[in-house]
Amino acid sequence: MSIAHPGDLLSAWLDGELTPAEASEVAAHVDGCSVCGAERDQVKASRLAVRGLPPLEAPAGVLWATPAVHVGDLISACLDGEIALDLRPGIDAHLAACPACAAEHDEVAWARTALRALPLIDPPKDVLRPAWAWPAPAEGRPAHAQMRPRTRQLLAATAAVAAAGIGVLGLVGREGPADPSRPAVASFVAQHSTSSPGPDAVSGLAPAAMPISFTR
Amino acid sequence: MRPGGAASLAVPAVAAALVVSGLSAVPVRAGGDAEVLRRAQAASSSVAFDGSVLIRWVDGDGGGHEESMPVRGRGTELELGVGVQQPALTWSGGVGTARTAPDPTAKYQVRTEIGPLILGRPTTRVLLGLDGRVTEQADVDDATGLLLRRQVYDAQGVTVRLVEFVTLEGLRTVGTSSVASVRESGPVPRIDRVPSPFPAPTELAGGYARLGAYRRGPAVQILYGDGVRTLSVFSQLGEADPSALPTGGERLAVRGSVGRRWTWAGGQVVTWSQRGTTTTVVGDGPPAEVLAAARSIPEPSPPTFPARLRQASRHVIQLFAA
Repeated sequence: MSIAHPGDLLSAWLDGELTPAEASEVAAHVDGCSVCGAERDQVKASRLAVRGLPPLEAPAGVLWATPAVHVGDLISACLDGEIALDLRPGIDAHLAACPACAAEHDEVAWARTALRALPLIDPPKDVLRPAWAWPAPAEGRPAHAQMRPRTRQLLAATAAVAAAGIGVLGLVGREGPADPSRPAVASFVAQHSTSSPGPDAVSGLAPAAMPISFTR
Repeated sequence: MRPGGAASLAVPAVAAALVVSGLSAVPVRAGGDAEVLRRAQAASSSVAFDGSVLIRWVDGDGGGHEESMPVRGRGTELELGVGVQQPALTWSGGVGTARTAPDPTAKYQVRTEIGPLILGRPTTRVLLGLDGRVTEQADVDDATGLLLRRQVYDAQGVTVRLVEFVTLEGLRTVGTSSVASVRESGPVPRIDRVPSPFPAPTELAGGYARLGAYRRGPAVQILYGDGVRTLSVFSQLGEADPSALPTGGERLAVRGSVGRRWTWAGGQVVTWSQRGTTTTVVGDGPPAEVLAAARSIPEPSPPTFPARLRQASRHVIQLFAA
C-alpha cells in the first residue's frame, strides 16, 4: 500500500466525500488491512446506530438561551410582537445574559422610536400636481393631453379615489406605528402610592411624600 | 435625602434572621393574627396625632438612604412632608376599589407576638412570612391600632425599607365621621372595562388580585393587591421615548423586550415597551416579587380592525394636516 492507515479518512470515505482517486486508494487499503477493516465495520455500525435513534426536537427557546447564539434579527421581531410565545423565555434569558444583544435591542428600539417621531414633510408641489396641469410639450403632445377636459377630470377623480382607498386599506391592514409615549414614571409612583397604601396609610404614603428619586 | 449606608440597616437584618427561624419553628395561626393588620388599616383613618417618621431604604446598589418628615393625622385627613416637599402630600382616602383585597392569610403566614415599646407605647408585632421566612414585620400600637413601625425584608432577610415614628404627640382615637376632609383630591375615574389592547389579567404572579382599573390621562392604571402590598400596572399606547424615562436604572428582559427597573424609597418600578404599548409597573414589594409580577403580565393584544381603522384615519388626517 502506498498510504498509511487512513484514520479519519475512513469516515470521509464512507460519507462519499473523497475524490475517486482517494476513494479507490482507501478502499484498496481497507481490503488488505485487517485493522482498518475492523475500524470500518465499527464506524459503519456506529453510523447505523445513530441513524436508528428516534428524532428528538430541542426544547423551544433553548437555542437562543445559549450565550454563543445571538438573537440577531429576532430583536426586531420581538419589538413587533411577532415572536411565538414558546420562544420568549429563551430570548428573554439571552437578552438578560448578553450585553451585546441587549445593547442592540436598545439601539433598534431607539431607532424605531426616533423614526416614528420624525415630523411629516410636505412633498414638493409638483408631485401632487395633476398630470394634465403640467405644461404640454410644444410638439408631439401625449395622448392624455389630447383628451377632452371633462374626460380627463373624470379619470383623475376615479384614480384619486382608488388611490385613497388602496392607501387606507394598506394602512388598516397592518399594525401601524403608534406615536412614541412618554411614561410619567414619577407621576405613576405618586398615583400608585395614593391609590391604596396597603395596611397603613402613614408607612405607605411616607415614601411618596419625599422628593421622588430613582436609583438603580 | 441623606445616604445612610447599608450598615445602618444591619441590626434590623439580624433581627429578621432571628425571627426567620422563629417563624419556621412555630406553627402559624391564621385568621386571628391578621385581625391586627385589619385594625391597623382602620386606625389609619380614625386617629389623630402629630409626629414625625423616619424612612430608611436600600437602593438597587445596596446603598442606604434615610429621610425624616413631619406627619399630621386628623382622622381621614393625613398630611405628610411639610417642609420636605411643597406642597405637602395631603391624602384623604384611596381611589375606591371594585373589590376588596384578598385575605392576607391566603398568601402570607401571619403570626403575632408581644412587640417592643416604641416611644413608650406597648405594641403588638405582626410577622408576615413567605415560605418560612419573614418578609415583613409591623409593630402596631396596642391602644389605638396605629402602625408605629414597619419593615420590609428581601429574600436574604435584609431590610429594604423601614418606616417608623420617631416622635409622636397627642395620639388619640377620633371618629372618622367627626373629622371633615379639609381638601378632597379630584375623583379618579374608575373604569369597568379595560380598553384594548391593554392586558388586564385578574391575577398576577405572587398572589396579586385585580382590585380596580382607573383612567389616568393617556394611561390606564390597574391596581392589584395581595392583602398587604399593592402593585399598579400603568399601560399607554406608544413605545417609550427613552429621553422621557428617568436616568439610570437597571436593564433587564421582560417578555422578549428590554425594560428598565428603578428602585425608589417606596419600592420598585419596571417599564418596558411591547407591540406599540408601554407598560409601567409600580409595586411596594421586594424587587424579585415585583419583577415576577411584571413578567406575568400578558403581552398587549393586537389592535382590532376598528382600532386599526381609527389609527389609519388618524395618519391620513395627519398627512393632510401637515
